[in-house]
Amino acid sequence: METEEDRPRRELRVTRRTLIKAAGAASAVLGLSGLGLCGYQAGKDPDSYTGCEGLQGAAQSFDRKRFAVDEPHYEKVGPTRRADGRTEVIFSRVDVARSAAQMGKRIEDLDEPFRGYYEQHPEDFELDKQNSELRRKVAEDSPENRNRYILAEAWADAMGAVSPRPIGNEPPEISDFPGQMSRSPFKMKSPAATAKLIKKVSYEFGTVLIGITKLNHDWVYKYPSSRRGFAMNEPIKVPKHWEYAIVVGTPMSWDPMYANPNYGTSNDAYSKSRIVAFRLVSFIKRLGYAARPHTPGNSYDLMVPPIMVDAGLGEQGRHSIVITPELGCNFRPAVVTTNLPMSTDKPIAFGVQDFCKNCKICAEQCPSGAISKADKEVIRGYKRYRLHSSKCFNFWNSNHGSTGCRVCIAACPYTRKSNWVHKTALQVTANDPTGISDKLLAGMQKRFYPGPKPSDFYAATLGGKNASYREPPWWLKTEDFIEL
Amino acid sequence: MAAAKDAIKNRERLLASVILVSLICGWVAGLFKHHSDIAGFLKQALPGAVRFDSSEDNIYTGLTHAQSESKKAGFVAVRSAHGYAGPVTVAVGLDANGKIVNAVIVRHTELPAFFRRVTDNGFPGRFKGKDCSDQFEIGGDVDSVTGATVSLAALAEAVRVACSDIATGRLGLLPIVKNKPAIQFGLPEILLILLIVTGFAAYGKKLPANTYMKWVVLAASLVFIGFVLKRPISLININSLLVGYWPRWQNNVYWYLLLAVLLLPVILRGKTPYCSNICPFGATQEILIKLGGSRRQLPEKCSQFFKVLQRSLAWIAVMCALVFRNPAIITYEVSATFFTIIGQNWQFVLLALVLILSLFIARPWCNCLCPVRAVSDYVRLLRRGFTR
Amino acid sequence: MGFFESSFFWFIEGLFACLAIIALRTWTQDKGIRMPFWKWPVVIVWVLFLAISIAYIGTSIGEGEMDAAFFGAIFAAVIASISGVVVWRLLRMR
Ligand code: SF4
Ligand code: SF4
Repeated sequence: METEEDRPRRELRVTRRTLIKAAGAASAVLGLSGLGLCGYQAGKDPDSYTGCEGLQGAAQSFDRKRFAVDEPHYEKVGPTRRADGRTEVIFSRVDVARSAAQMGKRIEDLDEPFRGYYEQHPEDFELDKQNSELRRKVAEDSPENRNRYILAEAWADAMGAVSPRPIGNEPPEISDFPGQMSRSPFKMKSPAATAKLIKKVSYEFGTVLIGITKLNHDWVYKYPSSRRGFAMNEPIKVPKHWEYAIVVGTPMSWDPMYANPNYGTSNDAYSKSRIVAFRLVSFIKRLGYAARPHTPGNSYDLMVPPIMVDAGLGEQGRHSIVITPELGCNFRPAVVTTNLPMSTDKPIAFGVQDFCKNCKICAEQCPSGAISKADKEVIRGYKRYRLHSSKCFNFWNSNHGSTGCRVCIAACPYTRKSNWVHKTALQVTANDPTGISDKLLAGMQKRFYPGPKPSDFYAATLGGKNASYREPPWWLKTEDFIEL
Repeated sequence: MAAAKDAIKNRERLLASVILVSLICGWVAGLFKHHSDIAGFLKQALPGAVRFDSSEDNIYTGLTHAQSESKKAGFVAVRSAHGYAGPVTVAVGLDANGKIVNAVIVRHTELPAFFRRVTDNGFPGRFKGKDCSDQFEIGGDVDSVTGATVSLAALAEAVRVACSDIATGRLGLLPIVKNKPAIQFGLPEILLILLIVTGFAAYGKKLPANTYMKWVVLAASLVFIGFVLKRPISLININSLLVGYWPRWQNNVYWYLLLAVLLLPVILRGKTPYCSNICPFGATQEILIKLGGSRRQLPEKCSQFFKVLQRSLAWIAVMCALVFRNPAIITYEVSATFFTIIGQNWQFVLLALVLILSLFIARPWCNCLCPVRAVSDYVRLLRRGFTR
Repeated sequence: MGFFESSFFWFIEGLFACLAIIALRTWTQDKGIRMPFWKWPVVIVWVLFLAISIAYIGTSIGEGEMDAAFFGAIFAAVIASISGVVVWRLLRMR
């Protein structure tokens, strides 16, 4: 018995010894070369750029090449139409309705183009008229409730305090060009090198993500939304030098953003993105090329989301905001249109369209019901989800804190801080072709990360509870710092 | 021997009668529960009106002025339809064109966690602006809400009835035809019947074929009654029956079938195959104990204690339901939490405990806490007490 | 960078993992449990599940998502116990 057992054991010992030796040698080699790589990484690590860690472009970490597609996800169906910046942009039309409400005007009494728009959308007229009244109701809330947002409002104002001067009122043929500063444009070595350069300097200017695309003229407003050198009632002729569009942008600070609608602010990222765009414009003009900034709040001649899609930054979600793989929809973009020749980026598809079809969390959380739970519709010739901007804007006037709401941004499961949990979830949805993970993850999202009742987001005087999506960060809790 | 048996029999009789009397008292007490005033709801349903004229058919006419010469602002009807745990009552205001001005919930007794899904999705406010001739079909012109289909369907049905009553009674419109079959009988009902029949067939003698069949039925019921339909029997169903909320059978064949398979066999034969052969949560526990590979029962003392606890809890829940006329006023069943993943936090904790214990002890839920088991035990006691 | 994100922490984790595996081997030998090769991945997958669950709970608390931590804990407890019992019975299989 014993001898029989012994023999195979000895054989085993021999093989095991060689195995151990081989494994030891291999791991020594691997380990030593690993140290080399590790050292190299340590030398190059963005984190070693103390104080400028964020300007190294490391945040744009998603492997876009792997998810690149030739066609963007929006489908062109039938004839397309450019948006009318005077009426289809809520900020342009809302004042007309407000003053109509004050003077008791009806739709028939309005001037074109507003009469035409509101005749087609009478519901929007009713909604847009209510805004002053809603603001008044919010202001009637108890001082106790209003004072809770003193720090948030101070913070929002501070974030918006620094801003480049808006571009003047000269036509783009003049204002976009460098003028006397430089002679003829420098000849660039190659579009690819130029693109690389522009991306690198944009990171240094403070952008977090960047993408470059050819400008599709369908995204330029048919009529301007703010003057910026255009005549308000003449169609915009897209200038020849708006050949490329560079999209840059920054996220809002995460903790206040989760505490929307009342603690967060758009000023935060708006201001940073504006600065990046204006720096970039200055840089390009110095090379002798034309460049024009299109920046938030409302200084655009074009719609930004589809340009972001074209530039491969992300996909447009159900809430109409573009979802980027790195930041979800916590990203406030600005666009620079230019004639500087650059190689362009491809659109990406990383599973958002399938995910949104079933998720609907934004629509369920949206206090105003602006986000559609229905399928995509054809809007101006393209397939997308409808967003009822009049409803959305009414809610902007129904809560405390800095202007706006942004609950959809906070609630979207793609808008998550970068840690292994959310990064893994993103990779799973992006790579799973079956759609099972979409259902599972959306279900888990609803169960594990619930938000308040949508009606609770309203101010107390409008039947709500002044709720925020998440607790505010400690440094925005007014009651902890100020004697009230 | 015979005397001792008689004594037990008498004790049982006494207990059964005491409980029966208490239940009847509870039921009577519930009769006096007064319903809140609906004036406030009328105002919300039709904010444009300052005064309401009522009439016998429970349709209120909203008037714009306090004086008699005032104009009609519209109509409000208060109607209800059966949800999961009793009627859902709404006040629906229509303007003179038959458009819904507003719809407000007057009262309901649905489970809060489930009904929250409905209200979170903006109902009944989302009925605003709909036309009284609409179909109010879930999944059709009304968006569905995952996890609360039954409650939402009841809400939509109540709104539809209110609309159609106003439309025909006041606006002089033709009755609105609802394009739905009169009797709801589809795949769920057929499958349920199949499960019941096989469940019955496998019940009784411990033949190998029966054991095999039992497992098939249990697995099928776990998947189908449990995870797909998410509608096993719950104490709420029994409470509804006792309180007198009997839904229209045409739409609720499934509901009645399920209750029948639980109660009828107990009444007729003193035992039911539901628990052992059909109940999907029972199936879950059976599977878990198979995985755990144990055959352990609770120690005698322990199981005695839990029997008392189980029955007292069930009695309290039923009494409260009767007194407050609310079938879902006390719920602690974790099977709903298991299949829907909806519930209060403590229900999740309890569910986790039950599932983990199920690995080591045979059917801890059924034997220690399940109120449905307690009810069927009680029916058996009644039967034994009053038959020779 | 805190200790728990440092490479040193992972080095120690690696040591612990080695020790745990050696201990598991000794323990199974003492118990007379045979460990053919297929049992190793089963045990390792189960331990990995446990590890990830614990990490998930920690991450959720760190993020301030208490609901996620709570439900994570509940789900993990149920799944880990059920699969744990199954793994245990597999281990004891000859
Ligand atoms: S910003 Fe607020 S109101 Fe507007 S769509 Fe998003 S969630 Fe809705
Ligand atoms: S919340 Fe869901 S549906 Fe809405 S945009 Fe995000 S992923 Fe899409």
